[in-house]
Amino acid sequence: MKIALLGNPNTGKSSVFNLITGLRQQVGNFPGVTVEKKTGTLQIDGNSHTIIDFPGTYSLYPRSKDEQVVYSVLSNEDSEDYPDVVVVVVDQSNLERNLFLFSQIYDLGLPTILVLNMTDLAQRNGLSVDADKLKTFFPAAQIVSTNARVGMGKERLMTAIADMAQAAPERRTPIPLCPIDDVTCQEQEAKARYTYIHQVIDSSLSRVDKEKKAAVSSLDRLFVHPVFGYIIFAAILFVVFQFIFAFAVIPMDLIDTGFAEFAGWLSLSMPNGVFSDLICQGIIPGIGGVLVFVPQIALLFFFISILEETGYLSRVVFIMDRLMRPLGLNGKSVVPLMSSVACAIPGVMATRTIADWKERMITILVAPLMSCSARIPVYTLLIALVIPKTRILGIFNLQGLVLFGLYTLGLVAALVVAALLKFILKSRDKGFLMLELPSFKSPRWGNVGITVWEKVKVFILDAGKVILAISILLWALATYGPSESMKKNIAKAKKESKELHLSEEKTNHRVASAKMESSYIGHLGHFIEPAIQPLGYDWKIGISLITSFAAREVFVGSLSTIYAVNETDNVNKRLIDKMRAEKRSDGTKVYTLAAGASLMVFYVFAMQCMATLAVVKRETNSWKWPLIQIGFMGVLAYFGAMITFHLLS
Amino acid sequence: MQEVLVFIAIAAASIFLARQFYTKFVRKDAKCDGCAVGKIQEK
Repeated sequence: MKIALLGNPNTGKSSVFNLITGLRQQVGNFPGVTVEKKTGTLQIDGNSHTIIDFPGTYSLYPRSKDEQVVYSVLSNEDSEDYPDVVVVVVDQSNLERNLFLFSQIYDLGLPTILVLNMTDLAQRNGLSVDADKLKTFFPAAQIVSTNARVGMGKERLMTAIADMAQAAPERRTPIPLCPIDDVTCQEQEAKARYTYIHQVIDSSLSRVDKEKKAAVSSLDRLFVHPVFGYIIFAAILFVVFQFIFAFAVIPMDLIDTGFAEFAGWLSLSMPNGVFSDLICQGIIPGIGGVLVFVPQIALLFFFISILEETGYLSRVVFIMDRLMRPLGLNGKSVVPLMSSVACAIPGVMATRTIADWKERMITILVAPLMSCSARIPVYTLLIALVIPKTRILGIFNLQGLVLFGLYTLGLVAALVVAALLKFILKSRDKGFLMLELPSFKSPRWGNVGITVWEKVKVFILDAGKVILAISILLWALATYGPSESMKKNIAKAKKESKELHLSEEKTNHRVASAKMESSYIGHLGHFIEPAIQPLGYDWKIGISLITSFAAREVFVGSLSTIYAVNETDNVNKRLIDKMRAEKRSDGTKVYTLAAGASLMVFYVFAMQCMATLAVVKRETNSWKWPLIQIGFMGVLAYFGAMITFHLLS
Repeated sequence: MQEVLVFIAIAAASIFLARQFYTKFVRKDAKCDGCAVGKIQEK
């Protein structure tokens, strides 16, 4: 038997799916489109049934690609996903709107189970649903109540599905749907349905306590207020960034010191040779330099996950819609943009819910300007390097304040570019935002933990593999070079050191620097140096900028590898200390406030992510848009960084 | 021996990065033709 799981967004549909399938799930795509298709297996009385989790939709008439999947499957009996039974999940605390979709599906004549989910929320809002009375309006449907978030109602739902499987009810005569492009017919149908639904609600829903609802509404009035809403959002972000800097320091220092000590110990324990150099100067500094930032990434997702779990992020989407609309963006753009704070890849993919071409294209083009988690290692390393650890007004951490400023700069840049693109791209359609504000809930700590773990795992495994490979290649390029020029430079450095009567340590450092200058990477670095000098960077930073095109966090791994090769005597020295000590040939410091700030601005704007470019190419089905994107972001980054450097020099 | 291990590591890293580049930029993803925003414009 094939079972379709349907419902409005935010009804706990996924929780119901997880509740009845457990871990027996597969994720794929619906045929012909890349809308995610989650399939699970149910074992009832020895029989195996397939359950398909469809995208959340408010109506059978589609407005986006996700919703189109539901229409195309249910309106086509020949579809490979056409169900034998439909399970419709509804939010009991929002019955009126949820029954619209249910009534449409019921009228298709398919055997239907109505799942009244979120019983706890309904009770908290003082609502009570009389299932028997409800059934008098939909006599052919089975009705069960659940609270899937806490695992309640599984047996009832399984029994209802088993009854359906045993009874194998005949399909009732369907009431035909309106044609997909006949809006007038759809409007008339909606009016008729809502008239009927009001009768259903009057009869089967009772409100026992109105005061609680009023309290929630007043909280919402504050969170979505045209002035206070933004102030509260800014204040929350501000506090989150303060916490990230305040709490992450101790574990970061532990990891940093641990890796440095480990590299030092390993270099003494392993037999001398090129492979031990590769491990101690290439791989360990490269990987360790990035793993150091895991505590900050974990903390960021911990806070984001709490905001999402409580329902606050939906309020953010709502208030941002007001801000976005004059700038040519749909309110639906907010979700992809907010997702891009974690990573631009899901952000770009989330634009599939935007039906209008122009709005979707603008969102795709500006999404990578939002500061993603891959920028955290770069930002925090540079902030720790050039921003003093002082407090403003005795309470605000200056470093946290700068991090907040960098995120704000990314958001402002995204909005300004969107406003410009509004005039450049042409489209006749106008988008709209239909958004449900879910009730406030206390966060489920298990879900928060899973989110943090998943994000950290992706960061370590996905980025880690690329960083490992690049660290190996960088080490090789920094260790080997044209042998003649390398020999000549090393001999010259030794001779100069002898003439200057330098200590052994200083001589070794001078020789290592000469070796690196004449390595392949040194040649490449000096070749690009004229182009990056106006931004305040030396050739080592230039090399890291090039390698970090693969992914932004590679910047830190690359610097770790380059400085490790350069300081063969100080394997256990921390990266930040090596960077602080780095000097140009004229004796001036490389990482001044001006150079550090210039680098930060560069990373706010630059499109340093191969994976995002690939996704943009795939989503736009063309090379044109990713090339435009890399072009305008590159120009913004280059000139933004140059202006910053010259202003602060 | 150490040189051989280094050679293997460099070769493996190069192959991995080349493969990443191929799968992300060159290989055609047939599944995704329908989701492209370019197609929406055509419609």
